[in-house]
Amino acid sequence: MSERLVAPSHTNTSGDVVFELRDVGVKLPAGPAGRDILRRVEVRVHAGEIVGIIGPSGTGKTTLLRVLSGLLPPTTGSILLGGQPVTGPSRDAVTVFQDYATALLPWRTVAHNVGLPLEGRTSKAERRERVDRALRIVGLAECAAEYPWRLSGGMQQRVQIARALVVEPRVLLMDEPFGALDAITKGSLHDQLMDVQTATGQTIVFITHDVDEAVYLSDRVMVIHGSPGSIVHEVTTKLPRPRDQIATRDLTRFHEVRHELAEVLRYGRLA
Amino acid sequence: MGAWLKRGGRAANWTGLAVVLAVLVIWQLLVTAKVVSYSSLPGPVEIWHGFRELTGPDGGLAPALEHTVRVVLTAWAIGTGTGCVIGLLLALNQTVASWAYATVDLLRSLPVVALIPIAILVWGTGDTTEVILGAYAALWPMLINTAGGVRGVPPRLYDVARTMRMSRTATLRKIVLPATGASMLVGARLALATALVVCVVSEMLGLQSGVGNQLVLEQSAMQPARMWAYVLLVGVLGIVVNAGLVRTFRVVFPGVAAVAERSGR
Repeated sequence: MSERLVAPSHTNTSGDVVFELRDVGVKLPAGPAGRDILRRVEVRVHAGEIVGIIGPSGTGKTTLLRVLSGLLPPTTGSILLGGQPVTGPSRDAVTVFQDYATALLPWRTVAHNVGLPLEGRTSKAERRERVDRALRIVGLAECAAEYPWRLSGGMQQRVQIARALVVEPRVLLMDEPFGALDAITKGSLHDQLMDVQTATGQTIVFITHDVDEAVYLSDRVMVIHGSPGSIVHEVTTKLPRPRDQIATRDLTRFHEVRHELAEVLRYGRLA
Repeated sequence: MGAWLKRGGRAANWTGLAVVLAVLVIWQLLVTAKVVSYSSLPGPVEIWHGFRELTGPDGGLAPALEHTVRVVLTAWAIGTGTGCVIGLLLALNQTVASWAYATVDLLRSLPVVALIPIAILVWGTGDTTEVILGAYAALWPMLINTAGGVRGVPPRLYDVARTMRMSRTATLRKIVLPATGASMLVGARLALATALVVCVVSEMLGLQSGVGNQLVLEQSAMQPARMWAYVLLVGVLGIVVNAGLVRTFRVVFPGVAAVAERSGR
């Protein structure tokens, strides 16, 4: 491995802890005893970090994200966001859902979808300005007056990302954000997301079942495994930024991380 | 109806109108050539003359039409308003739903037309009876479509509302109502059609005014052309009020209308 390739990325693992899950367990009502979905999950996310959580299906990935977003209270353990316990959804951590088509309001134009979280909280002028800025960040300023369902899947997902960015949250939570998109669209959205993150310094936690996506986007990847699911492994990617769809994927380090993750995903631990 | 709704507001449907015109011409030719010959079936030209007589100085069409339109719209407004509120309550409140569902199911399956004679016995032959009947008829389609629409709101949208920390009122106003809008429009249109039918039938069955009443009077006066004029008038009235409703909806709620047209409803 050449030194050049492990040049320090602007990984910020030494920054403040933004998000912390302590011994989180989730039991959902199913049958007389209920079913354990997550057990003893420990996660720590630092400011400005991009953390990918990857795992096979049925290991509680989406449940974990719902817990992080405050939509689902954990059965045991605690969640801290900026040091404060999370008791419900917070505007400091906004979620981008996988199903953009149902998560956007079809009767509202793109601009009105993006402005929704600001309604009744800011002046009209400020709202217009922030919506405009968010749309420019995701490159959709021209589509402001369009209905979302007239746009392509990739564009719709960018609308949803803009709607999250407009809140200016400390953390962006994403549930398999690019899972429903084709490989080419996915690639260009990856780069856009990285650009946005570089510009805003946002902390991002995303869920995925795509190993390449996890390696490419993340500063740190956590593997969730088992039933009930728990975090079984963690890798710091140490890939240089800015990343490049071709060059980054050719790096030896990229393949090392990829290999490591694939192994853990198959055996639940390093072989 | 979906295609029709989509087309309205853009170019007029000339091919469709040409077919209507062709049917009228064929009808006239069949009657003139005595291929079809019933004393009670005049041709379109004769019906048109009947219509001109009715719109003349002592024709009686204008007051009858005014009465029916006024009563139908009043009944429709009361019925859909009530139906909308009850529908929302049924869909959003589990307690209301468990108490009221059996009653709703029972009442809505009663044919309204069968209630007309009873209503006339109870409330007499005035406008009140007609408004009550029309409103009652308009209530059910609106109620069912509203409740169904609310239950069809994707759960994801409630997640979205929660992640934005929207209040309950804001969620109702900004998520639930617009997401139900397309269904409510369907309910409102069905309600309008039903209210018109029930009002005209109740006018025919004993009320003393309105288009239905005039229609029966012309029938007993052996005036088939005038009778037909009223029949066609009721048809045109249905088309006009429906189109008016759809256009108003499109202007007031452009986004919801766009979604409704997209889903072909």
